[in-house]
Amino acid sequence: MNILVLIAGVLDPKWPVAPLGDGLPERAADRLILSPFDEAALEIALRIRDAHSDTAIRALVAGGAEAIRLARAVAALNIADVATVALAAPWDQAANARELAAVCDDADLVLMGREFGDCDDGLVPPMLAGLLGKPFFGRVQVVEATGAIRLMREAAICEEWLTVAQPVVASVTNDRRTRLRKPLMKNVMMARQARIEALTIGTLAQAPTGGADLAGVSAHAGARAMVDCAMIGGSPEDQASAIAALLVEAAR
Amino acid sequence: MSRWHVFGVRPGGACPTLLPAFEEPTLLVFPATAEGEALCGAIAAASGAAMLGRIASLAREGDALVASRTTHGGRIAVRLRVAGGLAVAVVNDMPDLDGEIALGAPVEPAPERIARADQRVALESARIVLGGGRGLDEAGFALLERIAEALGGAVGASLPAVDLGLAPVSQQVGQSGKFVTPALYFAVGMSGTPQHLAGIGSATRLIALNNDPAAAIFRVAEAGAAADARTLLPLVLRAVEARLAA
Repeated sequence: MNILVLIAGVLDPKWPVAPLGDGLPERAADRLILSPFDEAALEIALRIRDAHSDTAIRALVAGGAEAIRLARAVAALNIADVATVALAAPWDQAANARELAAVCDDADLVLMGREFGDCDDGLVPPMLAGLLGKPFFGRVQVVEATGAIRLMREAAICEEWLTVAQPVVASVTNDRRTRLRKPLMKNVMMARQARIEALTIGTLAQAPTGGADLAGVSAHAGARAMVDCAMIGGSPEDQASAIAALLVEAAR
Repeated sequence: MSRWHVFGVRPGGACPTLLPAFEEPTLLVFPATAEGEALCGAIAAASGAAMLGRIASLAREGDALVASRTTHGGRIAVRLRVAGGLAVAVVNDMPDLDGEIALGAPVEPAPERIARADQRVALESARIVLGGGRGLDEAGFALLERIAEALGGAVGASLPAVDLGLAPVSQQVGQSGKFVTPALYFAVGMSGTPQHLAGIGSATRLIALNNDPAAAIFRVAEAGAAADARTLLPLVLRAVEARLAA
């Protein structure tokens, strides 16, 4: 099986971010990390390879020179085929999907995080699937690979298990059962010397069929307004009673 | 919107490849659910529509449509301008619509469905949500479950709590999780990051419990207690049960 893992990377949330002039924050190499969704996609690919030794994993990391450090972190997971792919406009999901479609080759399984990079929504994976003409299976949480490869996601009232019997694009979400393993030190050392290919997208893939323009970027304080919080004091029993009153009142 | 037509899309109906012809310019808005996102992406791929993402607001500037959304975990706001044609977006709250249409789910391989044993009140429709953060442990989450059960509510969790294995990802609330609009959200042991708060409707009343009185959650909560959840949650459960029995 040929697995392609598409890695977006995100700016480390531990650091503050600010617009860069009129544009998005700078994707500085030393602040670019794997998102929880990137990590889960990688771990699922690795577990499939653990169970099926004939599995080939290729990983593409979004970005140019700034993404090489991240690409080496991916290579340290004993993934030999890692490349970077520069995307023209990280804020434009449609453009991202079109550009990625141009480099997806003939993978049997395309895995990617449910959110692609810092876009804050899950629209790139299904659009990519549509562009590739492949079925889409979203928000995968767990893989079972001992026999047939089965992907699982939890729906509201059931678990949904997909047996991968045909090429499919799957987005992956974080789950405690698929935490990314730590790399072996020998592989970390080898990854420092690994050749990281830099892919460029053809102009055909970049040409939009419909598009939006970036009209402004600003810092965002959050969706909720600040309020004066009424702090509940007194003994623990008093505090518990006051909280219980609010909860029960709202429940009725 | 001046000359723009805005249609809400209800997942379920005709195959998306049979997209009806719209009098452009038209914006199609989909619910920001897993199903809505999958359908929106498929429609964008099939139609070449401009993709606006998960938008928070819409405005017009002349004949152009301007949408606002956040990036970087809710820390950056971007404005996108689209001049015409067909555009698509997903929303938490539907804007004023010119109409509603139904479109079918994209072609998906049929998965095997197995009923879950832990079925409870659905998070998205619960009247009360008790949200736990990484300030809780397994015992704390177990207490949240018992309080939620007593109240007929549901338990949510922050992304760090999910990463720690304290709650399943299906209970994750926030920018990367579910969007909930209960009457009341009780945030316990969580700092109140913008990423988490982005998953709670603006009309939802918020109360908080955190042992750090300087926690950011108290800046957006209407009431709160600075206390140790391990001490207070058992007392809250007892007080809730007493009130309900009275």
